[in-house]
Amino acid sequence: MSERTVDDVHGDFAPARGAAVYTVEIDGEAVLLDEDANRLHHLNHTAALLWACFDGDTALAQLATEISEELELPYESVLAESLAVVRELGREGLLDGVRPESEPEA
Amino acid sequence: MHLTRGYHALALDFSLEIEDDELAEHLEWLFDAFDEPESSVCYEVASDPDDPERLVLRRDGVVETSASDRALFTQGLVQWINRIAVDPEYAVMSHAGGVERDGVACVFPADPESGKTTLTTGLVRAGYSYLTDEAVSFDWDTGEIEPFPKPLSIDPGSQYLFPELRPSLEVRDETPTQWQVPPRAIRSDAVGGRSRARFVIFPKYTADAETRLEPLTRAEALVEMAKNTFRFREHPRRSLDALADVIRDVECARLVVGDLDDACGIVDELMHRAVK
Repeated sequence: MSERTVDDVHGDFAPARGAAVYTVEIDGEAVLLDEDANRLHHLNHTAALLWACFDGDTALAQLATEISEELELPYESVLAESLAVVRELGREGLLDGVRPESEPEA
Repeated sequence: MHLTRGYHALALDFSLEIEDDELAEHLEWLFDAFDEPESSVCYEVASDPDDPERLVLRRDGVVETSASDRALFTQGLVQWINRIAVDPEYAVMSHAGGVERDGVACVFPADPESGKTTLTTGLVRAGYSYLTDEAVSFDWDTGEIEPFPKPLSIDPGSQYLFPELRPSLEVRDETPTQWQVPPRAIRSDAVGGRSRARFVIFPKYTADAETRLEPLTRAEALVEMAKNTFRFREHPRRSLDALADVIRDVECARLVVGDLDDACGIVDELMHRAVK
């Protein structure tokens, strides 16, 4: 998979959880262990829900559609929040296919 | 030469052979709270042959710690025990203080200088049983806490709160150093037993602040506990899973500590609620 920059992440992107990231779910939130970077991350309910759906096949726009229908929320706001979560996780190097912010282009 | 009994300190089972009878008596008093193991490794406490004023702890010719003063040597000995007792092959261990009552434990993970020893000492003085002021040891499989009743190491900045605990052994030149205080110097029945965590509270001393609890989700608490786990990198996934199993059964919060008595009162309220 070729890497995108965070700014190139839009609704057509299908996020995939990083291979080196271990997830522990607790009370609807999540703790991510990035074993490569030796860092821990806390995800709130919204981010944890999205994280669980990042299978590398489902585009963000599709996820936003499903969530907005399920929770009866406006699609545009769900998509905007989902993009913000994905871009933040991408900056932290937690997603496959997204170049972390600290890494220069090869 | 005086040979002490064995002392069980988590991953370290040790005894001491001490040439100085007065020091031997002091160290036996200091470590009295440790259980006696079935067997132990003997370490020698003696004068350095090259510098008779200096005390060394050694085994098979290897010096583990040394100091030029009895009080500093005692501090170094306690620090050595901390280093060796903490071993992730034995249990998953948090850098934390802890107290218990009737098998229900309150654990205080915290960075150095956050006030966990001060809070722990205050609670033991108030009647709680002492688990540790340094390392809370959770069994990998069951999450049960094993006590690590090392001497409480009270920093100079907190000593004014506990004048009754001033030790007899102090540095010759009166340099401010930690007090090493065995739990039974606080109360004869102060040593706690195996227990289960019911509260995980992250203390943070802030001078002149209003003492208060601040809410924390269990996921947030898990991140903080993991950051305060000794040698987490050696077994990161296993450690995270074990700590998550502990966290799922506890209430979590931050405790801003401006006043020790107020902080002890807040913890006491929580523990009373748990026992009901």
